[in-house]
Amino acid sequence: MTEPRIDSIAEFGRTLTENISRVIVGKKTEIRLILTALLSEGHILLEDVPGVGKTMLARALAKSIGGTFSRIQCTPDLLPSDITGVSVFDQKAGEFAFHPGPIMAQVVLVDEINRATPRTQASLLEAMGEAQLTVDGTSYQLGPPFLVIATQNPIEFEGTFPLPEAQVDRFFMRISLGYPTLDEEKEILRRQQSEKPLIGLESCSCPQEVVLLQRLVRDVYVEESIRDYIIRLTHATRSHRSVKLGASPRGSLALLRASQAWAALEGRDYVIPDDVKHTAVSILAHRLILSPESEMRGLTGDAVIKELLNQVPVNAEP
Amino acid sequence: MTLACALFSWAVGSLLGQYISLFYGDWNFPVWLYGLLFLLSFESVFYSAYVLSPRTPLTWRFLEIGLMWFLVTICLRMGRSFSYPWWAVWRAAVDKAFLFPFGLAFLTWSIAGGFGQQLSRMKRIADELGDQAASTISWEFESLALKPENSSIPLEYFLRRWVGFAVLFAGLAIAVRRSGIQIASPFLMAGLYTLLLGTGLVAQGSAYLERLATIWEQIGLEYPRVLTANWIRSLLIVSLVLMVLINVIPVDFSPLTYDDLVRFFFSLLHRFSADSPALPEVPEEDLSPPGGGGVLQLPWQADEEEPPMWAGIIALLYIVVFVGGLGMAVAVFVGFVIVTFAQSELERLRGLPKAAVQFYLAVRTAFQQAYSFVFSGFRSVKRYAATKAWSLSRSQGEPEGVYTSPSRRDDPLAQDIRGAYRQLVQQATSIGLVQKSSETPGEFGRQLQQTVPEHEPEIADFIDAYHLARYSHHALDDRLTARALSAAGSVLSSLRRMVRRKQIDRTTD
Repeated sequence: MTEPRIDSIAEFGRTLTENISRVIVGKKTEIRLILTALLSEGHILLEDVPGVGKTMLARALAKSIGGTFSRIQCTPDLLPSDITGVSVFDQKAGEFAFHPGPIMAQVVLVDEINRATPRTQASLLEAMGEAQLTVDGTSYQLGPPFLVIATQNPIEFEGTFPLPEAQVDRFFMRISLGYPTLDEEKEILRRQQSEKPLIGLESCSCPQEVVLLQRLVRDVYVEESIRDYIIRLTHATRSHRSVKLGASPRGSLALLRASQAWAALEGRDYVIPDDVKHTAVSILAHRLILSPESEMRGLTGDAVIKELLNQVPVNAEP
Repeated sequence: MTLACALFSWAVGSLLGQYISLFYGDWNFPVWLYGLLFLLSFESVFYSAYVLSPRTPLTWRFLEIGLMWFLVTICLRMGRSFSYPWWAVWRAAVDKAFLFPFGLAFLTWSIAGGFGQQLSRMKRIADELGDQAASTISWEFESLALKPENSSIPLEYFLRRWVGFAVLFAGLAIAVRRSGIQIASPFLMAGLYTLLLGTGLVAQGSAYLERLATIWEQIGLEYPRVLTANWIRSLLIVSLVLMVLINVIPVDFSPLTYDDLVRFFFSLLHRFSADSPALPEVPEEDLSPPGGGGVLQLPWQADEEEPPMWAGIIALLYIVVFVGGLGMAVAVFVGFVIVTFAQSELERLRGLPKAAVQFYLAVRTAFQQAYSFVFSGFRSVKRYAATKAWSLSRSQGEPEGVYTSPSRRDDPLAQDIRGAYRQLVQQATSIGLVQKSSETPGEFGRQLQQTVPEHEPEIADFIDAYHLARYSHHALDDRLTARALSAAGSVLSSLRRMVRRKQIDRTTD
């Protein structure tokens, strides 16, 4: 494969968006954010009420980029070995043979992740953090590319286990899809009246291309003042009156990567402050732990980040 | 244009004074009057063009006339004694020694004021002209120009003054010749007449060009500079023709007079016929005015000794430096105090305090312009040196199209675009669109697009170029920079127009 140029990322974004839009009606910004996470080698947490198309979006993305896909349906009785795989003694060969679990795929959909016990959730930590898995002392490389798309329902509390902070921080991005508009919903009904659109969806890329583009995104130029702006933003989350625990340096790094990917999807090989602003809420909001009083008042991480985006100076022209 | 109008008014006043002294033998045109008329014409045209507004109090105009009276009195009394004191206005009003200079000063001041008002009107028309379809711009310009009832458009005003005074003085010259009065300084008269024609033509032509440039700017086209060059070339040709005509017309101030022509043709004929009659000699006494010699002898010159020229010049300098300078300093100081302490109450000022503020602001603007003029030259040299150094560093091994961050700061093209962005922000602030520190250039650009929707594509282009200049690592090429700067220029001019319109609205409210 020839070395792609920065323009090919924008083209890739357009093609994938078009392909996913055959299944998902509207939600262009959310699709763009998901592509940003994919190109930044990050994992996505789709958080929303049931029935808005979280799973379908994840499956459409997996199908669009080709590669291996697996799905983990989380339940309270799910064991870590159900995810990672298990070594079974082969009587014929007289040795243990490793049977890989569903995590051994390039795109993994972890559906309703908060229904799994913390022990099971923790089994995803190494995989998501280092793109490798250690079972019985043997390490297995995951991907590339390796993308975890987890979905969770924020409304239900019964029979759910909230994700621990360490786990949440490993998600590069949290996206809410929200309800479709009237016209969008009408279009959904029309499309799905006779057949499931996901069935006819073809892949329009390949994992190798995704890996190449991921590498290319890292070369997107970031000017000094943009880096300063990112740092000012994350520092501001740490000193905000309503925040108990602000964004970590991993958050700064994620925001930098996301800005690079967003810029590349826009067809630019340099980052501008708007790229940071476009991605900041999805990257930082879920990393904040708000003070109990603020939570009682109904304040959310999204609101805090939006407030900070309206306060932290950009320093466009000194 | 203001300079041409001032010179035109001065030439009219001076020529008229010369003819009065020729026709009315009891009065001679004093030397100091040239300087005084020059001063007044400049003052009047500049004041009317840049300071005067419909709301300027009448007292200020009366003060100008009072100052004129004062100056004429001082100049007249330098080195001469009068039978009545300087404050005896009723005596001066019937004294031709005072009345003629004062009348000329007033006339020159009025003519120059008229020109200044037309210049100010042209500016206002340009400000009011906007949001019009390209096809109606020209029509709209003329209709705006004709807005005050029964008035002509500035172009016609300039033309009428030019033709009117040219014909008047040509008529006066012929009348002088016919009446047999001999002119003491024909070259001075010819020079003044040439100046009158030349400056009148420059003023008229510049008004025409100004109108063209305004219309072109409104329809979003760049005014071609070649038009100005063509016009200057045409002006030079017309001026040359005029010079030739002035020197050929057989009037008294021309070296080629009617007599010369007759003499020339007569001698030509004489060559071919030996017995032709001799050239008739014009008797000297026929050309002389009654009771005078070759040059007009004014009656007062016989009794009194005329003050020397240096005395008049010194008097004028004295007045300008001390009286004018002191008055200016007082006005500037008062204006400064009012501006500093009154701040937002400035619009409520009336009468003399308002005039002082206007004067102070005008002086401040003049100083700012002079400062920027001096330093723009310095900056140009610096920029040229930076461009050279930068292009040299690029040619010495830096990769094409990409360079590191420190040299980006030295890139003069990027600096130009960033400077234009700063200007845009500054100008937008003056119309109330303040960029918040947390706003990105893109967000600012979108707000600006909502404010001036007619410049939406230009703003988008410029913001893209600004992003490239500010945040990218790419080399900017001249064409892109030129396009971005031109886009910024058109947006800036629109914003400036909005600011001016706001100021006009505030003044008229």
